[in-house]
This record gives sequence, structure tokens and C-alpha cells, in this order.
Amino acid sequence: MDILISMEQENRSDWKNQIEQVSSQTLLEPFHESMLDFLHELSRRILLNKTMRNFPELMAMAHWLRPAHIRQIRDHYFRMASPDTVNLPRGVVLHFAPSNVDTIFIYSWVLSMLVGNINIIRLSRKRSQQIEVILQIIGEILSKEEYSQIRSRTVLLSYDHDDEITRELSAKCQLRVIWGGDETVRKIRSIPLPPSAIEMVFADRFSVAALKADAVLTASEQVFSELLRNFFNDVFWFDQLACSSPKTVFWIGEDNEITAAKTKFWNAFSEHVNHYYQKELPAIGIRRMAVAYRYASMPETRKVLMKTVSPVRIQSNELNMQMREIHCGSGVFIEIEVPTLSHLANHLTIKDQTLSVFGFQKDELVHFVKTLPNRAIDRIVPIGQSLNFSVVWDGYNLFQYFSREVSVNV
Amino acid sequence: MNCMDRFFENVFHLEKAKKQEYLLDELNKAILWHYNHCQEYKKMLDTLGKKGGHYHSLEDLPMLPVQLFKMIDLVSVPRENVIKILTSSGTTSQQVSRIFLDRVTSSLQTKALISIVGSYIGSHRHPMIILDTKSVLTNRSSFNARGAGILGFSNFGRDHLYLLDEQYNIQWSQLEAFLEKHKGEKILLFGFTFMIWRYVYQVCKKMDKKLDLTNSVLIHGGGWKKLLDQQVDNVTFNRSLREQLGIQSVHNYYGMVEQIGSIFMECEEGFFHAPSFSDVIIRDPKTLQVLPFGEEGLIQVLSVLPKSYPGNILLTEDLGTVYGEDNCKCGRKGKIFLIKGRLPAAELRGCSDVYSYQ
Repeated sequence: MDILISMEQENRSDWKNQIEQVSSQTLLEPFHESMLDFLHELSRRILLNKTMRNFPELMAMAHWLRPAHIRQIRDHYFRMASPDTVNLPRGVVLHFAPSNVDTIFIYSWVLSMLVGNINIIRLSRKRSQQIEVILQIIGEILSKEEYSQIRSRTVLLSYDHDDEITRELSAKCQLRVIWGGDETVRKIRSIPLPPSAIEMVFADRFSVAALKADAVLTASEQVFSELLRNFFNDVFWFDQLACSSPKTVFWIGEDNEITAAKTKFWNAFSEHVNHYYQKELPAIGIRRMAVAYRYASMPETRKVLMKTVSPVRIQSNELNMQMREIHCGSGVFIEIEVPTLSHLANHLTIKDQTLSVFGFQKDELVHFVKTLPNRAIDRIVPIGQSLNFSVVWDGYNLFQYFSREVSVNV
Repeated sequence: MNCMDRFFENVFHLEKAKKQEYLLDELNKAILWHYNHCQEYKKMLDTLGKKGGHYHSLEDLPMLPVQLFKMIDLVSVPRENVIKILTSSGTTSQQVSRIFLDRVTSSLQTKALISIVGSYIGSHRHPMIILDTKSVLTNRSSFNARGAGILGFSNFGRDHLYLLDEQYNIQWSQLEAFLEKHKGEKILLFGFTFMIWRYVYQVCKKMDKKLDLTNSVLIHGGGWKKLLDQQVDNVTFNRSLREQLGIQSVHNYYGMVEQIGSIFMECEEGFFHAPSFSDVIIRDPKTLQVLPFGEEGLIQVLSVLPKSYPGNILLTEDLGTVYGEDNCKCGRKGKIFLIKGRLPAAELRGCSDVYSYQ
């Protein structure tokens, strides 16, 4: 057991005692001034740190933490209130962060902290160097006197898979949040919670993009190059392994338009990705090749277009569960052609989380959403915003889960 | 005696030009066979835009990544003809390869092994010590790589002693009795590199116990990854075993469960050799371009033996260097090469990975 950050800098070995003390703190008022100052300072320190500049996903997170954006989040929170209700923190929240979408633990912690909760966050043992730097920064800022109220309500810890520890931590919480996919959810869910506690879980999800062929063809040079840059960010910030990164591309339009749009798009994309492959490990390339061959063996696949680098393009007529499951990230795209947006609905399932789009009007998308099969798609965003974390995620309003609503009907 | 049997009499005799012609012909036939008998293989080649035969050079033959056998069952014979399924070793959380053998392919594998190993230790069956525990053999229907290796190699010896008990402790009294019984005879030793290091060498070293196995030959294999992690290379391994256990003659071998028949053994000069029915090609790990002799890259292995599954041309994840062909002082023909290790593993990122709760 490693205690990474907690109220006492000394005596970290006695984790049970620390958890006991943290859990018994009073709850802070939502959006307490010291939280806003803390996040402001955290954001500034990350933005100013030169080593962070190589990690666009961390820069995006730092921007997310800036005061202007936190104020928007606060407005969102206070809009939930009504004359008959008071929103209060839920209490002690236990977060299980995913191993390698490094930044999720920050988002999960920050939103829970802002509404006034005490937070215990379990991080993976496998942590990137940049996350170690961020942990160090957080530790430094929290050691300041003015943030002692936050520090005394926060524990970041890390331990090897151990049901006993998970059981003890779970016994202390009012809300357990499990990121990390089906396997992790299954394992942790088998460990009981106190009767009054609730749970929020994030299962494995899949995400897709939809591009309107004629919009790609007629886009101005500037719009087209932005599209490429945005698509690239959505795909590669987390090596296409984030749940919300697009893995399937639906092309929508007439056959001849689609053919031309695909050629234009992928030729430009190939040029755009070159520098990315300089730093790719060969092992990733070999895994991509094996997965491409696996796709090639499937009856649904018409053709596989590939070189040793991305894009590996799986030309298919369908998108079945197995095709979703074997996806390995790192620049593999299943491509499906359909004449209109409404044809997309047949291909989508409960597994599909984010639909990122290019070339569609809002009203046609709103109309489209109503035609979707049961529980498919939790968010539709423009291409470029797939990875933007928001208060509503996987269909959960995190603020609602992190809060307790007290009704006052007098 | 068919053509293959004649072949197995001397598996290191073919010179470059003849070998290439022979391999190309046999491998084209093998590809066509699998194309016509393995539906998934055919679909794969068709979808990837590759032909089902008639290639003009060994380098152009369509290779499958070894990992693929962890993702899909590929079989080119009716399922009822499968007599053995080999699996790669791996921990429970990992996927393992499944390799399907029928009678023909299984028998080719045995013959190939006999002919290769015979070239190094002769055909006489010596008393044999297996530096492992017998319990890896308990599940006979689904052999993992370790069990299959032990069973395959145990044919070369007689009066077998399994040195380790179920808890991996050396069975000292049995060993003493065995050495006493076979005093003056040459002894064949076989085991897996890491097991020998961890459970025999290190244990003896710790107990400060020297063995006298001077009159013995050791054959070992099974990967260097764990030993390289501990900074132990081939030279250190051989020296340590000589000093502590007295073993003078050590032959490392390289092979993989996914390509039966491709057993590459270290010769007296310290090089791995490709037998006449197998070959290796080195490729750039990123571009997969063929590299010249002397340059390190990914090892591609070719073997004419697999008939019951399409494993004739595989791209491994191992790094190595070819140092020449038909030029080894040991007198055996074929390419000679050394292994550097495994490609550095890719760290998985992503919110949906099973490693997160570790």
C-alpha cells in the first residue's frame, strides 16, 4: 500500500488510521473558495511546466481546470437547484481510476471535490512519468496551509489487487465510482458496500464517427485541415484506446461521393500521422498487424487496406460485437458506407458511447437520436471533442451522483 | 522411403541455391493447400489482397504474425483428424496460442526434432535428467509449450529422472542414486532456461554445493526474457553452469510452439542454425523491409512442415541477427543467427483494459 497524498505527510504506513481520520471529517460547502483557488493554481502549474507540453491530453486537462471553465461548471451545478431542493455532498466517495487514461482520476476527483465530498482515490500501480509529475505538483500545492481543508479530505493511494483492502475502503464510502472497464467492474462489484451506499460504474464502451461525404468534399481548405487535426486528436491522444475515441468511421452519402471523400480524407490523414509514428513502439505496429489480419479473416470484412503504419482500414458491411471487442487501438478504422444518417441506427448498440460527427445539422441529429435502438449512444459531439470530459458522462450526470438531494416541501 | 524421410537423414546439407528453390516450391504448395483447406486463411489472404500461391521469392510469401494464433483457431484439416492441440505457455490472464496437429504433421514434427537434435548429440540414447518437475505433464490432452518440449526431448534419453519435485525442490537423494547408477556414462540434461537458472543453478549456488556433471550434454531453451531482466546473457549462463555444475557442453535452442519443426539449435560455434526445411529472414521492426546479414531486426521464420494449420511463414516478436549462410565452421549448412530478445512490450493505455485493477 502506497499512500501518495493524504492529510499527514508523516506516518503514511498507517493507512487504516488515515482513512479513518479522513472519513470522519465534516463535509465542505460546494464550490468552497479554497477549491477554486486550488484548481486555479494546479492548472497554472501544469500549464507552466515545460515537460507537460509534450502531452496534449494534459494540457487539455489544465485548460479544463482553468477558472473560466470551473465557473461554467459551477453554473451548471447551481442550475440543478430548485426552490424545493437543497443539494448536499454525498459524503465519502471512493474512486477506482483506470490504469492508463491517466487523466480520468483528476476529473473524477475534481468534480466530486467541488460538490463537497471527501475523496479516496485508488490509482493504478502502473503510472506514467507525467502522472508522477502531476502527483508531485498536487502534493506541493496541497501542503500549503490555505489548502489544508482540501488535504484533510483527500487520500490518493495505490495498492496491488487486494480484495481485503478494497473491502475495508468500500466499507467507508457512501459512493463507489469504478472506472476501468468490464473486468475491473466485475471484480470490484463482488466486494460489498454499506447498505446505504450507491455505486457508479463505467463499463467498456465503443465509439464511432460519422462523416458526411459531400461535406468533406466541399469543405474549405481551412475547415478540412481543422477536421483532420481534430480527428487526429480524438484518435491518438490515448492511442485510440479511450472509450470515446472513434474506432469506426461511417461514411454517409452517395457511392461516388463517398469514394472521392475517402480518398481525399485518408490521403491527407496519412500525411498528418507521419510524425506520430516516429515514436510508436514496434510492438504496437505488430499488434496492429495481427488485429488487422484477424479482421481480414471475418466474413463481414470486404477488404483490408493497410501498410505497416496507420491508417489500417477495415472495409466492412457491418459492425458486430466481436469486431468491437478485438479492436486494439493505435489507428485501426472499421469503415462502413451508408446512404443516409438514418441507416446508421441499425449498426449501433448499447455498447456505443460517443458519436462524433462532421457535416450534420443539429436538428437532423436530434431527429436521428429519437430513431436510435435501445440505449445506444450517450453523446454526440463534433469531431475534435470526443475526449472532452464533461459533467455528463456515459449517460450519468456526475453531479447528481456526487450529490444528495434534500427536498424541502414545506 | 518418401522424399521427406530421405531429407531427415541429414537436415543440414542443402546449400543456399538448392535450399531456396526447394523451400519456395514446398511453401508455395503449402500456401495453396491451406488456401484451399482453411476457410479463414483463404478469407484472410483474399481480403488482404494476397495470392494463394505462385510467389516468386521467399521474401514475398505472405507471413502471419505469431500473435494471430492467440486470436483465432486456424486449422487446415477436418477437426476429427486433429490428434493434438499445442498451446503456448502463458499466465492465466493471457490468451494462449492454439496449434492443431493431425497425425501427419505430428509425425513430421517428431522426425524433424530427432534429425536436428541427432546432429548435435548423436543417435545413442543416454541416461537423461530432466531439470523440471514431472507435474507439468499431468494434462496430457492439451500440452503447453513446456510439457510438449519435455515430452519431445525425452525421446532422446532413457531412464529419465525428473530432478525437481512438485514444489520445485531438487530431489537430492534421487540425483545421487542416479549419478551412482550411471557412473562413467554420458548423461543428457534437458530443461528450460529460466527453470534451470532459478531452481537448479541458484539453489546450488546458495547452498554452495558443486555438482560434477562433467560428462554431460545440456540442451535448454524457452526464452531469455526473464534471465535478461536479471542481466544474465548466454555467455554468463554457460560459464555459471560450468563453474557450479560442471557442465561443459551446452546447446541452447530457439523455437516456438506456433511453428512446429522449427527448432534452431546452438552449434559448437555458438550460432543458431536453420535446418534445410526451415529458414529465417530478418526484417526491420517498423517497416518490415528485409534487412541484410549483420543487421538486427525482427525474426521471420519459415518451415515446410506445418500441414494441418497454416503456420509455415510466421513473423515473430523476437529480435535477432543473421550472420551468414553456409559459412559456419561447425560444417552445418544453412543460415546462422543469434537472438537478442523480445520486442519491448507495449504498455497498454485505455480505459477498457483488464490490467487496470492490478
